[in-house]
Amino acid sequence: MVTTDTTEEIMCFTGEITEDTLSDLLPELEEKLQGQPLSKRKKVVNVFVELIQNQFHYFCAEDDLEGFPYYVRCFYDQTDIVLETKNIVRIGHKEYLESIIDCVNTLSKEGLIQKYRDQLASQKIDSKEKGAGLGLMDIVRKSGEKLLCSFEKYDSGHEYFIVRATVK
Amino acid sequence: MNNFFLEPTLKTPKVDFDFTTGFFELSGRSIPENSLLFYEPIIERIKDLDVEDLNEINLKVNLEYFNTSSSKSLVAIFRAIEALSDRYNVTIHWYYDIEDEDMMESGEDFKNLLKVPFHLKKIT
Repeated sequence: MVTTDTTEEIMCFTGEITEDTLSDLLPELEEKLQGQPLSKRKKVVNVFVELIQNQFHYFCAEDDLEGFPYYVRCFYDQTDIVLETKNIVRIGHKEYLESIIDCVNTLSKEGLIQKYRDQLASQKIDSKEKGAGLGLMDIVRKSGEKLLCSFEKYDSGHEYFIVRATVK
Repeated sequence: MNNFFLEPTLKTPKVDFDFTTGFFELSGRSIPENSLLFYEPIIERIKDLDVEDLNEINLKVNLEYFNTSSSKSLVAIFRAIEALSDRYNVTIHWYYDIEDEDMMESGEDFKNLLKVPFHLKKIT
């Protein structure tokens, strides 16, 4: 089992997040997690997939913004594994994302399972909606820890959106 | 009705649907960005199923990973299978590694939504 007493980077990707980013990064991440127990390795990969796809979903690619530091990081913090993403979202998405994350973070484990199941039951296969937070709920369920998020002003219409998940 | 087979990829599962025996299998990983593109043809095949001399349908699901987008599609597949239960004996078998509690919980999530037999099976 790989452990460390200090913060040690497992992976860091800086650049545009596209549909191919996951395919490019996943084999490398899995290789670097080989020493971890199966359960923890799978939790990390699941959270990683959801974070990247969440970032891709909410990223305002059509706004043609340039020169900002979006990234995906994965690192050890003692024996925990921390995953963090940073991207830019339209200011209109800020309240929505904050409310979903606040809601998910306040639920008990049982409450989260029930909300997830209710949400899953009500999903429509052809829905254009982003899943009403199903991915964020999944991250908290898998990690078992609260999801940390913050926003920083980018310009009058956009905010940096930073999300951090921890797998114990 | 022709059988349906797709090789697994880094993001999509192996699909092996034998309409002669009624044995259907999804295995591997399912993490496409837009799962509907992948799963829609499969769902349509299930909805169109009409095979004489077929009594049972068994769907085996043995996934290593699946993402949120896929979970919506899996619900649609399970419901399409469930809709066949007036003509066939249908059973869904959800396999999970004994060390993978998350995958077991996911099976319980799906089982909770369905009325057809849904068996959780440990892989040791």
